[in-house]
Amino acid sequence: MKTKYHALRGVLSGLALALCVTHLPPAQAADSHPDFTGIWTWDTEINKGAGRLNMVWPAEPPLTKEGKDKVAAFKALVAPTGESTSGFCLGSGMPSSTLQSGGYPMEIIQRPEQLTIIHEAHTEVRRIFIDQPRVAESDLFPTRNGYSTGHWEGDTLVVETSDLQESVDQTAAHSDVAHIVERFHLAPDAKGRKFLADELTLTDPRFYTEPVTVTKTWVAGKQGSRMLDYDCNEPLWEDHLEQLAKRAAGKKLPGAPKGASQK
Amino acid sequence: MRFVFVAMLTAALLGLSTPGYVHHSGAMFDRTKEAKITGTVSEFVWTNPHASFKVDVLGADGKAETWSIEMNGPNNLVRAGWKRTTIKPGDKVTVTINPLRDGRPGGWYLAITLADGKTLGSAGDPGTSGEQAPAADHG
Repeated sequence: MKTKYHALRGVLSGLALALCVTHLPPAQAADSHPDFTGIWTWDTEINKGAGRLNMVWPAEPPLTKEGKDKVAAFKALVAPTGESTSGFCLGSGMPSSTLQSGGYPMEIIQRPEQLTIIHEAHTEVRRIFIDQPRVAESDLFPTRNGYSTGHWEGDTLVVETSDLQESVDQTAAHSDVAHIVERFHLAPDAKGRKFLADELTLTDPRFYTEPVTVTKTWVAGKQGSRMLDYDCNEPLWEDHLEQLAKRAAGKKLPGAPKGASQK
Repeated sequence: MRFVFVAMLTAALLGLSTPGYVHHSGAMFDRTKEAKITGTVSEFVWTNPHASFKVDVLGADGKAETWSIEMNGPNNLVRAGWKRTTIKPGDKVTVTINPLRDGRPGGWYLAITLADGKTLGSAGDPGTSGEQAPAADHG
């Protein structure tokens, strides 16, 4: 009897274990990989030489003639006013969004099938699809942050980004054939502080004579640190409403909003 | 329609192109120089991408000159101890700035001494591990 009881218990335990293995929730399935989830801020000590904005892009990158000409043309265009994308509440796009992002923190949310990076500045979001079938090229279109896929190589998340718009209005200018490979990994230091490193290589034969590789490192946000909302376009919207109200008032149109501006 | 939007945007920005509301790159400020001004706050704008305020500084001739000060964005200012209510029109303040290169009365905010003597700096100067560094531009 006792033997039968033990045998039955063994079968049930095995069944339970099998059920556990086959019905693991996604979060547990990711346990074998490092978890990058959390808030990361830039670290001026470890990124020495990166300058005031902590941008690790070389000051004089190996641009081709086309790259040089297009960057110079853009700079000449905005030189009189010094305007930049940020003044228009527009994010940098890759790779500057991740390498710089205006000196604001970023939040990473990791699921087995997707790593989401939310840069606080301009609420720029990157979605990295991990071990997912690549979307058909005909369904992709160029964007400022491109299309990113990822896979794990040991403890390193390797991310490839393509389908980028040509971009001359960011520090790390590039053409639309740019291809970016990033290798994200945790890099704790001797003091036990938690760091996240991103070794990034941009290959772009139209804009660069050779691939450019830089490493950006973040330190984990302090206990209790939190991301904040980043609303930016409101003054432009309010000014636009004011203009609309003035035009409506000038034409004596009905419905001119009173106090359209919430300033 | 797109033209109208762009035209509006351009008009809005041109209208704001005085030093107090520049929203431009940091190149216009002389980072090698520091200046200190004392005066009365006449405006405080708490908005992204850069907050800003104006200070009326009394000159030797008895006339007030308005200085326009550009700052980091509100989020990083909060991390440096600022609040939306830290200054208001009428407050007497002393401000340390990187002045504008072109000599106009304006600059990039570095530190402030408030009417009650309290001092605030910028959001994590470079060299402070794990803190936010100041950002004049996001490009």
